[in-house]
Amino acid sequence: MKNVFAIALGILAAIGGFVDIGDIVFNTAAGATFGYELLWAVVIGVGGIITYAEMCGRVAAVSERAVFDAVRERLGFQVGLVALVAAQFVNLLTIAAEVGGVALVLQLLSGLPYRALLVLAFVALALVLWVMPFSWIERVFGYAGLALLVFAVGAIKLHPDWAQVARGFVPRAETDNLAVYGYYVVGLIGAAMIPYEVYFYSSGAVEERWRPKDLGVNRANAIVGYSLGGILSFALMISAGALLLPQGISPEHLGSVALVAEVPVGQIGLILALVGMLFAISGAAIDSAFAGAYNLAQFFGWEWGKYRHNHGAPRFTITWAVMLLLGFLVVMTGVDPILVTEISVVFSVVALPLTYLPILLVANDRAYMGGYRNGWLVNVFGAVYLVVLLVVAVAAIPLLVASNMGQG
Amino acid sequence: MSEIDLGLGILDHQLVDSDGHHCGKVDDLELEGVRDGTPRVAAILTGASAWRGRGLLGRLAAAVARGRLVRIAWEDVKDVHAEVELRRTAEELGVAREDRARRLVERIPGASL
Amino acid sequence: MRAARTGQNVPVRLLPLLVALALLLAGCGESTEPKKQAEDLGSFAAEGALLAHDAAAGASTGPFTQVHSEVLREDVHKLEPKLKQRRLVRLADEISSALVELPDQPDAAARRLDDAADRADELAK
Repeated sequence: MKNVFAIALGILAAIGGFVDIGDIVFNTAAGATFGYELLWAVVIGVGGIITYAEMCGRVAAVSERAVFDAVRERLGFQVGLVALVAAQFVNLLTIAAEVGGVALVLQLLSGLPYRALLVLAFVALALVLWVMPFSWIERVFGYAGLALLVFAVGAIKLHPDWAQVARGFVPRAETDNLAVYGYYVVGLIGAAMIPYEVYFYSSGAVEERWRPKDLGVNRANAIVGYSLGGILSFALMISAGALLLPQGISPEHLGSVALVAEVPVGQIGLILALVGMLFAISGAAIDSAFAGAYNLAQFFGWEWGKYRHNHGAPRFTITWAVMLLLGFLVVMTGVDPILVTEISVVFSVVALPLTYLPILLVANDRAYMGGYRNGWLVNVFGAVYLVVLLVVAVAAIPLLVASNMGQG
Repeated sequence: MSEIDLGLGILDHQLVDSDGHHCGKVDDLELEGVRDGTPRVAAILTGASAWRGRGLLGRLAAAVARGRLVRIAWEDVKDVHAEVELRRTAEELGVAREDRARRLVERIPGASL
Repeated sequence: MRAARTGQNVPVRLLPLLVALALLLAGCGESTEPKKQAEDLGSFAAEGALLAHDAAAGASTGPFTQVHSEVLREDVHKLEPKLKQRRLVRLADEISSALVELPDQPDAAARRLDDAADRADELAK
């Protein structure tokens, strides 16, 4: 019974923690541009993160090692170093986007000036990272992120043509703007499979001291949690498709996203949307700062983990603080966080094959996994996704340019 | 598995001292007996300077990082699996234990959280 | 010991170049074509109208209405220098002033923005 409870809580945290600013931006924009036609791309992205998150969790539970540990061992020092630099670059952009996003949401809630709220966001996030134990962070930000379910309520209240919604799950491209369509496919898959998620999930499993007995929890979190989390992405796209597309509204701001909940659900919809976004994006800022620290520490063999306490893993601690600070400085220059979000997602797409290949390799490694190696079905999914990611990675930058960043 | 295969297999793996603390990675290996046909791992090399033997990017990284080189004799290796367990503590082996970083972090209140 | 593989140096070198390119292109995001400009103005007006209707109905909050209407006004403001047609300039002015009025007079602003959105649709045809 206690185990079922624990699993349920884990699932809830996974749902609430699923969405970050990249998902928010791309799902809403895709809905406003193509209606329900890109729902299938979200399915692909969610399927990918489920496949690989389950793998990462299993690797961590069985070997008590996180995946980036394996990057150097599997790919060697030089290729591993390239992977590290690429991962850290993308992590930094992600952190910047999320921190900026937090400030934007705070501004929408309070009306206070953006720059002051940026400083507040940075200080508050640093404090949370410094003081709160790992499991508390995951629970608090995960549960509060569930407020985003208001978008599902809103989607229903907007009375979309459900037959048309259903058709959106079948891929077809009936548009004369293939470049923009392709850009959104890339962005949606990239946002769902953004690298920090697997680094964080994998290291988080070690933080929570998962062992083989927790493999059920891992599977529940990854499969059920992330599937339901995908509902939040669907809700954003469907709402935007039902409300924004018919009115010719192109969402350029987080306030535009909040409107999508305000119109059908009213003031309570607005508040829940803003609070949900605040915690989901804050959680993502924290997770991506941790991911940056995990990667560096795991590559160089330092102590790492919040469970070792700040002074027990000093280089790790300094790393997340520095990465958070650098992210803060990037958005402090005044660059639009939405722009940083789009760039961070597209660039992370380019790094996706290098991110996911080591995971697939180590999940098949007998020395790491013993009898818990990948079954054939998982390997099929894993391999298919690697091919998908390679295609998407190659297409990402050309599509960014050809579609004029989705503007057409 | 012959000892040399074992040795080569541990390259880039995590080093763990006798207290269970992480103390870097196996950055390079010192081999001996290669010429007389009985290759053995004489020592593990760790530290940024050890990257000089790891190709072009390794030399670049070593130049940027300017770290030390620590030689851990093969006799000090206790066990080898996914991690390399050592017989002695990091201090005894002369491997950095993140002391500078720790002193900095400990100056901030809440460092034990 | 010599490593067996040589590293993949290409991605590392190419990346900063691509970043610069992407940022450059992002800056040139707005089109200068009148039809696209009319569509953009229509988007700002329609979004403002949604906000105004909600504000009038008490479905919004003070800070949100204030901040979001201002953000939309900045969007119009950024587009204004690129407008060449006089009727687009007039439309932009109308939308801008309606957005300024929005937090205090959401009803009136809603009507004005609805009309502006319709006019923008006409101009975009």
